[in-house]
Amino acid sequence: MRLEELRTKINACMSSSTACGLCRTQCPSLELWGVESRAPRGRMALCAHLLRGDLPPSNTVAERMFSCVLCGNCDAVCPVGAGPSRVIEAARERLRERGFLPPKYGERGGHVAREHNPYLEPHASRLSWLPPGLHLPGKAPLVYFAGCTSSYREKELAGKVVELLGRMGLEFTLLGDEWCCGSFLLRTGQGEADGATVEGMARHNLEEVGRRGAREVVVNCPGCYRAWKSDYPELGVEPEVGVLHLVQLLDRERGRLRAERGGEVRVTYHDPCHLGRHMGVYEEPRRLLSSLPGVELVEMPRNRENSWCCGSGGGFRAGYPDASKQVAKRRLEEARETGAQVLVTACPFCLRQLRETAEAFGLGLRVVDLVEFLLERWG
Amino acid sequence: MSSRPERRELERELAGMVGRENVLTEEADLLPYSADHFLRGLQHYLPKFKFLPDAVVTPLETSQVSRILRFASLHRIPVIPRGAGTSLAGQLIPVEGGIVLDLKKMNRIEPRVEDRMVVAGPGATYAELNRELERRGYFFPPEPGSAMACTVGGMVSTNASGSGAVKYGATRNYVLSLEVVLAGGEVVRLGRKVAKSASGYSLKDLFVGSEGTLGVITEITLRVEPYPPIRRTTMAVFPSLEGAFEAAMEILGRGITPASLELLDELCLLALNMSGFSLPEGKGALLLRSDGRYREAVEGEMEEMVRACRGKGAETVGVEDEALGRRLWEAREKISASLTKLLPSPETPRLVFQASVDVGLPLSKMLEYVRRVKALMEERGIMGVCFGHVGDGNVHIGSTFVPESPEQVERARRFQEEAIRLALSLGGTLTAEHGVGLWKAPYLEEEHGYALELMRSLKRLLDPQGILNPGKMALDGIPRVALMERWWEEK
Ligand SMILES: Cc1cc2nc3c(=O)[nH]c(=O)nc-3n(C[C@H](O)[C@H](O)[C@H](O)COP(=O)(O)OP(=O)(O)OC[C@H]3O[C@@H](n4cnc5c(N)ncnc54)[C@H](O)[C@@H]3O)c2cc1C
Repeated sequence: MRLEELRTKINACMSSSTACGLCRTQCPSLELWGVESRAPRGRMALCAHLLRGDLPPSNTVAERMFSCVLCGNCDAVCPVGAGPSRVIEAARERLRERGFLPPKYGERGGHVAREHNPYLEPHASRLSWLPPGLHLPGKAPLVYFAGCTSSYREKELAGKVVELLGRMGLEFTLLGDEWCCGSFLLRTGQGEADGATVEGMARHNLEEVGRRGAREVVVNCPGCYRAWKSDYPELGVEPEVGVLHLVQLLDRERGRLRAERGGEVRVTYHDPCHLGRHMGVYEEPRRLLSSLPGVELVEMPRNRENSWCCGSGGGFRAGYPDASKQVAKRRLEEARETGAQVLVTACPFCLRQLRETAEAFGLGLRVVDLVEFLLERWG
Repeated sequence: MSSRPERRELERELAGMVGRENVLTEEADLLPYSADHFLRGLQHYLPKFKFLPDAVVTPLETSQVSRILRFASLHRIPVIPRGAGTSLAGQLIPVEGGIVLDLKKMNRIEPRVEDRMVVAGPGATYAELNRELERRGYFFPPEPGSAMACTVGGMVSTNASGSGAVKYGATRNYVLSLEVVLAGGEVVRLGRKVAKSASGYSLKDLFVGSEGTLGVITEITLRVEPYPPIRRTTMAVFPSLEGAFEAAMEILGRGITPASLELLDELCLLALNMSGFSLPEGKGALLLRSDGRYREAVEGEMEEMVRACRGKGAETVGVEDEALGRRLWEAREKISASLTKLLPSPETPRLVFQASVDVGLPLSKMLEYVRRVKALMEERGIMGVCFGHVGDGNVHIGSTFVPESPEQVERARRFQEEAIRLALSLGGTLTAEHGVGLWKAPYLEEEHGYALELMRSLKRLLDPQGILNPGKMALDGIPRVALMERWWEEK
């Protein structure tokens, strides 16, 4: 973010009738710690002081900026459009430039530069999720970009995406050499890490798409979706192909779905922050779920633009594992109160976080990705 | 009594009372507590005006608050109780440093709807409280514009109210009982958890609106109302501001008590239209709400109000469309914020301020007041909107200025002063809902005369060392006159 833009945003907050604090409404880190310096308005104030130079950058300031999940709830309620979550991201970047990046993120950032994933895994094993015996064409109109979380941590899900696309009769393939989309770096203030830039990663991925002759890229990770659809163009790399999140593709190709099996079930849908609030995709997954026979979709009290985060975004799960589970637990309790048996989401990150937390606390709620849910009911 | 401990020692002492994790002393944690919006904006031009507290503490229970206060009074350390920090009159600025008690973690909510009441910790937010109550068919009505964020403790301490006050009253009308920690650490219960009581002085009422200057409220028992399931909203746009007033007076004169009766001026309408609405053009508008248990009654009341408005030449929107009504309502809450959109877009980012006026007037004087204030704005070259809760005589003026020079700040301050004095001269009060704090302290004596001396005596009785939220409400002898002026001079 350019300095002028950053100033404008901070001034918008500080100039509004009130620096009003309405952004305290639903802030996970405020709920966890209960203090201003870990709430959006307080962080905006710190940014104002940093920018003016009367607060020196420090590890403490960095910690306050990194203890935010970047869920964007504050952006959604801000009456002047100051967008605190974007300002916090920009502050992370500037703190990193001055040497105050928390080491945990730096280590992962460096790994992205070398091995193209933030999970400290070798690049060579990126495709280890591929179901054996699967043959995909060298060229196809559609490519599936699996992303790091599905490739390394939710391998089964990546396999299921491929299975679903196949069952739907869609002609698709994968990238020859898929690299991290860069989302991890952008969200943790590392527009540049060990010489690698997100811009460079974007260009690489786009070249790979070009080699496949594809007209469209589909991703199942909302973090990747935001990177491809919104961050790449902001960085001046315009993908000249269509970019879709899987829920959008499924919704468009609804006629190909045969998810007609299975008994009566009550489900609720969790909006991933990066798909919903940050990218405005709310209705497609709901349309899909409510069109399934036997499925009753019920909403949690906080849904769509004011849904509560799963607690894993913005590097928060990596940096604050225990606290992040507390955030997830609140969401799961809310889901359980709707009487739903299944919590459906459309993000490998949310899936992992919510499923593990449900298990850890014995909350007795099934957590699945929409892809898994559709496959279960296929036939 | 001993002198104020230095920071490390203070930190150690406090950690011993509430645990290390509930004490903050690093600059990065104190800074967000060092200013309100107004001051923070001024800091942009005058960076040295920071009022850092010595520590921020987040207590979990009453006994901890009590220990902190005992300790603070022993060492004469100021204590500033704090809710969500949404107050608008400089109530929270730690002018003498000290300990900020951020009560966010004391947020227990215990609905007792069988007794038609709810017991809450001071840090519970209005929104959370009402979520719990509405699930049970009840609500706590005085909904301020900051309802999403503000706390019940803050509401009690400022006697907050909102657009529903015409029908439902202010926070004071709902407070049944309070648990308060006094300056020396004594814990007292004021009032009983019953619907009514005639037993002794109503000391709880002394604490309603006391802005943290008399004690720390640690538990609140509120009366609750059955939630009205039927709601209707209508916007009536008039060719003149007078028309809007006349219609409002006629509605009230017919004996109707609407759930809300909000006035908006031409600029407010413009701001709403700039935020994406396509409302008819006009010089003034009323936003009307009717609510209740029975559809026919609610719709009948709304129809009568609409007729009254149309009789004064209004065009109405929203009658048939409740979704639009809800959106209008949300937009109304954001009027102040959207004001900045009315300014020509700047070449360079800049700070814009609002000097807010929040006076209360006899209903019969409102039109005169608004006319005179508008003339004043014109004369002084000040841009501002005028809106308010006409149903209860509450007029808000948000005037916008860019404080780039002492002259601009002075101009805005003088306008604010004139607008307040005008209200006082018409028999009004200087603040109907936002409170006095620091920014309005200079005018308190003009409104209360000798009664301010009584307030000061009460303050001395309850807080002999003057440690509770010092500098606010003109209680420390000489009102803290226009600090801003002094700052500019020093600059
Ligand atoms: C966008 C916006 C709209 C607003 N609209 C309205 C409106 O319509 N009506 C209205 O009345 N106000 C309104 N306000 C002002 C403000 O929201 C209210 O005054 C609110 O009640 C303050 O609550 P808080 O939790 O933020 O309190 P704070 O701002 O944290 O504190 C307010 C005062 O109460 C004291 N205090 C807080 N908690 C305690 C406690 N437990 N014990 C003792 N003292 C305590 C503090 O010391 C301070 O003096 C608005 C503010 C904003 C930002």
